[in-house]
Amino acid sequence: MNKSHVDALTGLPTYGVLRSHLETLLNTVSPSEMVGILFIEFEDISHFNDAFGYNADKSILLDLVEHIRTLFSDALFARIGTYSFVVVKETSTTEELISLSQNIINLLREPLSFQKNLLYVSAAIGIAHTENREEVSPLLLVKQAEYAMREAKQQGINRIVVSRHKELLSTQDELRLLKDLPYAIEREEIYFVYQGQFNYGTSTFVGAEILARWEHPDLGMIPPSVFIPLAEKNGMITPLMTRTLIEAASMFEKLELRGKHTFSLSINLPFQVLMEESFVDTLGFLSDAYNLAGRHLTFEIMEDTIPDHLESFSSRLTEIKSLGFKLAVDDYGTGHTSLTYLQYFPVDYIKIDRSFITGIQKEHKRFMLFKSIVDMADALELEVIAEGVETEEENEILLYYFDHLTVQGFLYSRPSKAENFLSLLSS
Amino acid sequence: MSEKRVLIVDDVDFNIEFESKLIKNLMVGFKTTIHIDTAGSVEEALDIIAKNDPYDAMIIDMNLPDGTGVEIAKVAREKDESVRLAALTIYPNEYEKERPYFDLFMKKPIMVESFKQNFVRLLQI
Repeated sequence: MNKSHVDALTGLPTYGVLRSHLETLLNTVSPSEMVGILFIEFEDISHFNDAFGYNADKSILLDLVEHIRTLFSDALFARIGTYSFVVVKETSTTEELISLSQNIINLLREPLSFQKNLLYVSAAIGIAHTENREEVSPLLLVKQAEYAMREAKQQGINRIVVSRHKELLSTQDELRLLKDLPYAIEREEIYFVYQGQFNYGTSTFVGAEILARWEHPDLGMIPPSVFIPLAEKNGMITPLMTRTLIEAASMFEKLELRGKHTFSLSINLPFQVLMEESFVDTLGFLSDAYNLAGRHLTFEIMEDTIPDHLESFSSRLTEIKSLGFKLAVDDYGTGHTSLTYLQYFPVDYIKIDRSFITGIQKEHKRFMLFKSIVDMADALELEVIAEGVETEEENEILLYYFDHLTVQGFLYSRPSKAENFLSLLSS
Repeated sequence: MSEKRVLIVDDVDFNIEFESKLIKNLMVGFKTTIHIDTAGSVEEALDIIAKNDPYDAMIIDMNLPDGTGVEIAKVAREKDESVRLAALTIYPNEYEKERPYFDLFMKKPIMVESFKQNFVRLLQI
C-alpha cells in the first residue's frame, strides 16, 4: 500500500482509501445487502499528556485501536481525523450495525491499562446505511454518519445514534449546493444517464428513463433526491427540465440513426414545473426547435405530488397530450389513498412503485396487491411498468405471471451514459 | 421588412444554438428579420466586429476562455455608440462594476420566457 494511503500513527487506511473502497462497494453491493458506516469519535485525550508526559495520547490511541480493530475482521477500518475513525461494513440488517457499535462501547467500558494506571476513554458513534436508498454518494454517507455521531455526542458519553435521512445535508452544504446549482447546470456537472425498460413480450428494451446526475467537484456525487428538491427551491428546476428535454431530443436522433423509431424516452416532470404558467409554451418551443414533435416522449409525474382536485389542471395535461406526448404516474401506489384522480388524469402509463416488487416472490400479499394493480390497469387500458426489478427471483415470478409486462431495474439495466446505453441496446 | 443584426458570443455551443433557436422562434411574430452571427471567444468576437457592418445588438457571455465580455463591449461601443449590449452570466451580482458597459444583464442558465422578454427589451422592438 502506498504510504499516503496509510495513517502514519496507526497503520490504518486513510480517507482516500475509504472513499474509493466505498465507491466500489456502493456500485457492487447486492440488492439484499446494504452498506453500513460507523463514524466513531473518541473523546479528546490530549489531557493525558499532562499526567503521563508528551505523546501519551498517541500511545493510548494506539492501544485503543488495537483493542477495537479485532471487532472488524470483515470490515474496512479507517482513520480520518485525530480522534475520528470510520468502519465500512456490508450487512443485511441495521441491527448488526447497532450491535457492532454496542460491542465497541462495551470494550470502551473496560479500562485500558497505561503505565500501571487504569484509564477510561469514551466515544460517540453515528451510524448511516444505504437501506431503502436508490443511490447515495460515499461522501454524503460518511457525512450522514458524522451528523449522527454529533447527535450521539450531545446525548452523553458512549452513545450510539442511527442517522435519519433528513440529516443528509448540513445547512451549510445546502446553501453551497443552492449557490452551485446554476453553474452545475450551465457547465454540465449535471449530466444524464439512461435506465432501460425491458418488455417481456418482445424480449427487447422498448424505452428508457432519463435521469439526472450531479458530480460536484468537491462533494462528489449528489443524489437526485437531494438536488432536485433544491432545484425546485431556487427555480433551477425549469432550466434543468429544459436541458433534459434537449438531451431527449438528441437521444431520439441517435436512436433514429440506429433504426429504433418507436423507442420511447421518459422524463420526470415535477408538478411544480407543470404548474408554471409558461410551461406549455416552453414545451411548444422546444418541441418545434428541437424536433420533439412526433417522438415517443413520456412525462412521468410522481403520484404523491398530484393534488386531490386535479380537475383544474386537466386542461394543461390535455395541452401536453395534444403536443403528442404521453403521461405516466410515477411511483404508483405510494401516494394517494383515493384513485379518483385517475378519472381526470389523461394518463397512458402507470409505473408501479418498487416497494410492490422488492421481495415479491416471498410475500403473498405483496404479490396480490401487485396483481390487482396490473388487473386494474388492464381494465383501464393503461400500460404498466414495474420499477425496481433487481433480483432473478423477482424477475422469475413477474415473467411467469405477467408475460406482457415492461420492467425497469438494476437486473436489466443500471443507469448508464448515452453511449454505454446505446451499446447495451445493440448488444 | 427590416433586418436586425445580432452577434452572440458564448464559448458553449449548446448556448449559441439555444439562443439562436429562441431568437428565431421569437421573431416569427414580428415584422423584422434577424441576421445572427456567432463567436466563441473574445478574439473571435473582436475580429467579427472589426470585419462586419455594425450590429444592432449583442448578447455576450461574461466569462470567456480568453477574457471577459467587457473587452468586447468596449470595442463594440467604440465602433457604434447605439449598439445594444446584453451581458449573459450565471452570477449577475458579481459584475456590479461592469454594469455601465451594458444595457442589460441576462441570467444563465437561460430560461425561455425571461430570455424572450429580455431580448425584446434589448432590441427595443
